[in-house]
Amino acid sequence: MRVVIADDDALLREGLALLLRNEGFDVVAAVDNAEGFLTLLDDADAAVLDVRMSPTFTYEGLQAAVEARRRRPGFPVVVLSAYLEEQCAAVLLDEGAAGVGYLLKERVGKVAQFTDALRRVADGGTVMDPEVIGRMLSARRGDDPIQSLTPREREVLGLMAEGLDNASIAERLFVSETAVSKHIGNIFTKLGLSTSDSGHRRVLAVLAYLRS
Amino acid sequence: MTRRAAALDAHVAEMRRIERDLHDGAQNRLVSVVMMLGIAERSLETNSDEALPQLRRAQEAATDALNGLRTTVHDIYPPILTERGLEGALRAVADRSVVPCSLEVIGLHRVPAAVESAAYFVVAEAVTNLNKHSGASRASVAVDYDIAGSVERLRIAVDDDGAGGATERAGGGIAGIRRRVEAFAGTLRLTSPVGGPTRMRVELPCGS
Repeated sequence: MRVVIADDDALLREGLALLLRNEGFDVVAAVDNAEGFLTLLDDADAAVLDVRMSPTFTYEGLQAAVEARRRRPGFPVVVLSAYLEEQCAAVLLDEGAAGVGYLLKERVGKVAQFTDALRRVADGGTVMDPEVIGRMLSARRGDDPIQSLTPREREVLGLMAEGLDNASIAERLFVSETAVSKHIGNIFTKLGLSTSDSGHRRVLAVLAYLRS
Repeated sequence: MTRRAAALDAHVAEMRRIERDLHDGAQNRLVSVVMMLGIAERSLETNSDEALPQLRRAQEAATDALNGLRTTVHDIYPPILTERGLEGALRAVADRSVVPCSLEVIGLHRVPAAVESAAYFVVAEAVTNLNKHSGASRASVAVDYDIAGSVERLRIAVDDDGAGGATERAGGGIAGIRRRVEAFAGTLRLTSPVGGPTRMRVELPCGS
């Protein structure tokens, strides 16, 4: 898979390129600014961007990701940030949620999980950081059906929103896949969602619910 | 602009500068640490020879993070300002300069802590610079406080009789001074013809 990296911190940029190359990705370029990144879209299958780059050090990376997806609809982007904001997640998802990832920067340290997330995004999946999901969950009103979820069900909901399938959720929580299916059935019933959704559609259903 | 508004502006600018220092410094370096440890962990699973250099790089990045953190924390409000006030702190800078350095302070009123801290940083950095690079035999620091119209400001002059030719490089001492000064909407002028002398003039608007 051909990946382009955009991060204005030289050490992080080079570290990320090394990490991805070691994992078998073809890093076609690693640039330090949004303009440079946008000229490379045709050479890459996916991009990893830092939210914050020069000149204003605010949302250049986010804007570049949105612009990339405007020019090439569905272009897979994983946006990394030192600090997650729900509004940033919303901006990314509003352009269509397929092929979007939004993660805390330090998640790259969990190499297997990070590369797995990147591959899922490149395949058109959606990956949201558990922090964002946690914040969306805690912002819910008191009369919200979310409040009726058990702590375990909330955990499963968060992992679903991260884009994990049942087997991966079972692995993370050290429970059987059957147990996960049961939790998911309960969650969907409590929230009034359609249980027929699977994979990527399931993530979207959960995110749509959390954002409503 | 009212005094209060100017003080608040200086405060906001200072908060923003500190936020950026922390983000670009310690925070990014710690992400590097986590990333390099992640790479090392993967190497240990496959080709353990590659793990050692990665661990060393992680350690270097952690050390960088600590150094950055130390500098940022110290620069927020150097402890010497609490102990001796701005004039006493500037006196200490002049006294420890190897190049004999005079200090003149005129009408120094109470200025906001963020401005005091910036003024101290500017003088300390400039004196460090001239000790390292100028080859001067004498230097002088003058700080005064004045009101021009409704604008209250701290003016700082640092001069030396050295070789001149001081230039502003990215990441260098002068660039650091400019960054700190511009965070307050202040100004920095540097004249340093080859052959000297070098003169630095800084103005820091202050609110109260």
